[in-house]
Amino acid sequence: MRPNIIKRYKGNPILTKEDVPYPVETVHNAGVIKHRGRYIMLFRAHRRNGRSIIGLAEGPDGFHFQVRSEPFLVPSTDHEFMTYEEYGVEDPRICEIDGEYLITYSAYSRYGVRIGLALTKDFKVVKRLALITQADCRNVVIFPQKFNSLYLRLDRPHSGISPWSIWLSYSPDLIYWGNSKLAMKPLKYHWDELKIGPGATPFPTSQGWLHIYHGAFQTMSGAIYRLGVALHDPKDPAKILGVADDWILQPEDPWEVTGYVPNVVFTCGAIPEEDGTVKIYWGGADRVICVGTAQISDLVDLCLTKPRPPL
Amino acid sequence: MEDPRITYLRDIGEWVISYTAYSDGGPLVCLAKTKDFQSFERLRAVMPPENKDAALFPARFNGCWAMLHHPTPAMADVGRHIWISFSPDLKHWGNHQILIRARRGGWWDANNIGLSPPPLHPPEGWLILYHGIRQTVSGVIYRLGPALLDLKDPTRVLRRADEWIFSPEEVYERQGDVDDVVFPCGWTLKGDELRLYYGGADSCVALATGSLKEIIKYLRHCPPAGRFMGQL
Repeated sequence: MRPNIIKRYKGNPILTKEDVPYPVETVHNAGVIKHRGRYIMLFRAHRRNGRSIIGLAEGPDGFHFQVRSEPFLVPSTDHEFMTYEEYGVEDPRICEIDGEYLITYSAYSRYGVRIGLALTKDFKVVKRLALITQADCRNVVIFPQKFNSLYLRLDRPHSGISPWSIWLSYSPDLIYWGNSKLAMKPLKYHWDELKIGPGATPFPTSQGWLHIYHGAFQTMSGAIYRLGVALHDPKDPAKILGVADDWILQPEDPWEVTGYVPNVVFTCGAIPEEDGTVKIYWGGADRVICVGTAQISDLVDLCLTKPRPPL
Repeated sequence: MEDPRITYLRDIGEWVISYTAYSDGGPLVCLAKTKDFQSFERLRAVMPPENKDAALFPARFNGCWAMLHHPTPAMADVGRHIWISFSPDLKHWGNHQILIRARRGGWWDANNIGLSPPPLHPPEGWLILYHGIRQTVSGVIYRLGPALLDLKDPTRVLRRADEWIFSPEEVYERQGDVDDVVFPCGWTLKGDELRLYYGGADSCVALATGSLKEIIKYLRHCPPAGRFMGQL
C-alpha cells in the first residue's frame, strides 16, 4: 500500500475535551503558531449550549499541549461586535505579520456568519479590530506577508447559485478590503465537488506559497470533509501554480470517522519546520484535535506533478 | 452586468456607477467611474458574492465614502437585509453593518429587502427608497417603501415607513418577464417633484412622479426608528 503523504502522529488525538479545565463538549479546528519557541494553539470548543468559544493551549514540541485555565475568546459584549457574535465564535486562524498575530474567526449570529479580525502580541491581551466581511462568509486566512504593500486574504463567501469556492481580496490596512477575485473552485465529481474553503494559513516554500484547504463531497449518508493542497505563485498568489488532484488526508481514524460531526478532517493551522517537514493540525469529526507531519517537498511535488485545474 | 445605480461624487467630479456583476461564482458588486459617460474606469469587484443592489452616497462621512448594499446569506432564515459599508478610497470597503432589517412575519417587506435608487439628500436627512420582496404561493411581489437616515451619521435610521408607497398596479407592472415587479434604480429631484424611473415587470422602463414634501411629511408621521428597525 502506498503510504499516506501525511503521517499521523501516534499519540492522536492530541487534545480532547477531557484536557480542558472548563466545561466543553468538543475541541477542534485549531489555529496554531510558534511564539517565542513555544507552540500556541487556539481551538474551537462547543459549550453545552451548542455554541462555540475559542480556547488556548500551549506546549513545547507541537505534540503536547496544556490548556489555559480560561477561554481565550468568547462572544463579545462590545456593541459593535456582540450583535454578530451572539451564536458564538468559531474556527480561528493565526497569521504572524510584523511581529504581531492576527486572528481571523467566524462570528455567528441570527444574521448569518461573517469574519472577525482580532490582534494579539502576546496571547494574553487580545483586541478585536473589525468585522471584515459581510454575511455569509467563513474560513478567512491572511497571508503572513504583504504583496505590493497590500495585505492579502483567502475568502470563502457563500452562494446559493455556485458551489462555494475560494476567493481572494486585498487591503491596505486590514480594515477595508477590495478587488475580490475568484481563485479556486470545486471540481465536478471530484472529492471536493460540494465545496472548498481556505484551511491553514499559507506558508512560503522554495517554489511558492503552500495552502492546505478543505473540500467536501456529498454522499447518501452525509458529507465527507478531506484536505487538499494548492501551490500559489510566490510573488502573486492570485496565480495558482498547481492544485493537487489527490486529497492529502481523509477521515480514517475512529475519532475522525465518528464524533460530533462524522467523517470530518478540517484544518485551521500548519507549522512549517526547519527540517523540511510541516506539522498539520486538524479537527477530527468536530470533536478532537489531531496532528500529522508531511515533507513539504512531497506536498509541492503533488501540486506540480499531478494537478487538477484550479477553476 | 445588471441593475446600475449612478451617484455623482462632487468631491472628485465624477459619477460612480455601482452595478451587479454576474460571475461564475454568483452575483457581486462592482464599481466603475466616469467623467463623461463616454469612457469608464472599472474599480473592480468591491464585495464578494453574493451581493446586489448597491448604491453610493454622494458625500463622505468622517473622510470615508459610504455604500448601501444587499448581501445574500446562504444560511436559511437569517433574512436578507440592507447593509452599509465604508471606504477611504472607493476600492477597499469595510466597517460593514446591517442598517435596515427585513421584517419578520406577514409584512410586505418581510425576509428580503434591498436598496432601490441611490440615497437623496433633502435637508431632513438621507431619503432612501427600498424594495420589499413578498413571497406568496404564486410568486413574489416587489413593492417600495421609504426610510430616512441621519444626515451626518447614515448608520442611524430616523424613520421607516410601515407601509409601501408604490406597488405594481398597471398591466406593464403586473405582467412581463417577471410578474408583479416595480424596481427603480434611479430618481431625480426638481423643485419638489421626484421622478422615479423603474423597471415594470422586468420588461419595460416606466416613470412615476411624487412630491418630496409629501413623502417626508408621511415619514415624519411614522414612529421614530431605533437601531435594527423591525426586530420582533
